Amino acid sequence: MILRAMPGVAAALLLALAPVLLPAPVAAEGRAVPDWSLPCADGSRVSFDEALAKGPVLISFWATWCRPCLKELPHLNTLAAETKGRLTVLAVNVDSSKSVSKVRPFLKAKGYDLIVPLDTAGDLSRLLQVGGMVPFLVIYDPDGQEVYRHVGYKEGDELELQKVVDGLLATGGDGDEG
Amino acid sequence: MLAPWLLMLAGAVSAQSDLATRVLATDQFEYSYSSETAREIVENWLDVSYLTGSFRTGLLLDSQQPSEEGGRENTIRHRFFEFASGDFQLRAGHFYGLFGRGLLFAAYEDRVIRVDTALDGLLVGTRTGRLQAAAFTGTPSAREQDVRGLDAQLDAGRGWSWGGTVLTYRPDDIVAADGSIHREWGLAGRLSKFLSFGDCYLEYGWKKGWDADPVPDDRFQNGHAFYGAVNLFAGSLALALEAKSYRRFAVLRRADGKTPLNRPPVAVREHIYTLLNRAPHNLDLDDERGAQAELTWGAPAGWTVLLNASRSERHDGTRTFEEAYAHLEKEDLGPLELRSAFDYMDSEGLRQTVIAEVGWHLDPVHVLTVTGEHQHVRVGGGPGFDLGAYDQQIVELEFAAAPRWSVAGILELNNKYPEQRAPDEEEGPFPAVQLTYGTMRGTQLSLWAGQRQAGQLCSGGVCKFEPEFEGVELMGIVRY
Repeated sequence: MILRAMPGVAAALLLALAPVLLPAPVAAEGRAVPDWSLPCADGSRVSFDEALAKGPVLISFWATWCRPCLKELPHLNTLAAETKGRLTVLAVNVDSSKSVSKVRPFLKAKGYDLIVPLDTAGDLSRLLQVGGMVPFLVIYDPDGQEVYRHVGYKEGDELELQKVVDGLLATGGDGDEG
Repeated sequence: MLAPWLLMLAGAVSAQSDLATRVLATDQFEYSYSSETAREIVENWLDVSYLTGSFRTGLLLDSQQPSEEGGRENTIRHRFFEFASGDFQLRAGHFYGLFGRGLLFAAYEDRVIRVDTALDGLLVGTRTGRLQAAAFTGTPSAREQDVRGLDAQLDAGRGWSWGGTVLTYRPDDIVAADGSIHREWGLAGRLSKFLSFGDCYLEYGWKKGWDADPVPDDRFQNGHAFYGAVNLFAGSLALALEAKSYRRFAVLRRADGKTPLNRPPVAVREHIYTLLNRAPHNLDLDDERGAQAELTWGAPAGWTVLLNASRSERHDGTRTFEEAYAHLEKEDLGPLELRSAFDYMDSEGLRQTVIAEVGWHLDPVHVLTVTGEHQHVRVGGGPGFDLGAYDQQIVELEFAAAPRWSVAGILELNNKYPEQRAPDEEEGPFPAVQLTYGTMRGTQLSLWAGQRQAGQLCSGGVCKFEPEFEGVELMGIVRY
């Protein structure tokens, strides 16, 4: 069965592994993404530019129906508390209009003290090409350059994330893509 | 068709060449090979966007060689050009949007269930102080009809927010007896209030009863929709309440060939476990009302308790869906994490489900997780027959090595009688393995091989039937 599917699997793998096999792209000068703003779960509003003005920004996309996302959130909450004032953590929720009303109750019950922009319409997800696969995490240095991105979550991923954040903060925000 | 877009792109690039530029490209693909039918499916979506200063342009190349339905095409499905400066946005080409909670307008894409209700046209949005507004005119992919919308929202201060939507479209295939062309109209108004101890959201919609695909005998009746949500908090206790009532409220059915252009909340819990999605609730926009309540308690010592109940019915009182769900979890019990759930669901039979999940942290980056789901289904019957009951189970064992790999073995079993199976349904068991690999650049690959039962894939009350499958699947998302 697998042998018959090999040509197709091989072609798809080649396409998929291209960015791994090729050298890392050289970051262009200037901001990686334009400014955006979204309403937050607590009724406030956040903008990327305002967050970036304070230093590096971590954006993580999550949803209440996504099991790995819910496992990642406690670690993001801890990271946000530990790096308060030095790193802005934006836990962007991508629940649709079906379940977005449960986001704030979930955060309250869990006691998470996170900034949670609501991307209910999916505008930011499309801008950053999340592609519906969450959790998706991306970190920008203070210049707006992307320094790290990761899709999915497995227990222990937070160690790599911590290392990247520590490196970024230690260099005053000038991290390198890993 | 593409010429004006390319001209605009060229002009924008040359005019803004001194500004920071960036190309974003993401490729998402699915390949499957069925060992039963020796049939391959190859679907690929390549998103490319080009940003320079305030300008952005992009396209979506959709390749189907062939698709699930068997069609072959390689087309630029979306293309757009956008100018965004400060709080002003102008977009020409394909766009999505959501007004309020989607009672009247929600154009969205969900590749998992192959929904794409994008409009092709013009979108303008702005925000000035406390007021934000958006207007558009566009045409959905599967209907030659012009749709126009206007939405405004005012942040009235002190946690209050007010908003309203006007939507109109002209069915091009309906001409009244007097020869005049009718235009469909819809209106919606909403308000929300945020407080320290809770929040509430209310939206009411009205739709003129002229539709190209009317419900029999309801052709000229107006449609109504109501949705309300109230959240209350006390310490780590949170209560979420939702109510809905939709009558003759599908807006432009089959905008993409199968999905309407609105997507009101379903007020039914969205589940993360497989067996709880076996008989999901399909939202009926033309005749449905119901309510949902969910209580979440972040208990001491890291325990979380969640209780949920929901009911949906037709306006004549006929029950269409009912569910009670309880969930208990402990994130940190030494090296273990525990999750368990019980669910009672009245949907295509009476279903009682028990779920247990245990994660064992072997070390900081290696976790072994075993998940067991057991469901008892009382199928019932009709006049003169009774199909009785059956049980089905899913056991999954996953080993994850952060931050790159995970491998999982999945086994599904059931004890259905031949009479309880669908005509082509296999007896089982259904074993499968899955391997996932992720990189630091946001790429993820997933290889699946084995057998699985037929089932529904659902998102936001919209479901897609996935037939039984035996073979190999490779899925991935690659960011360049």
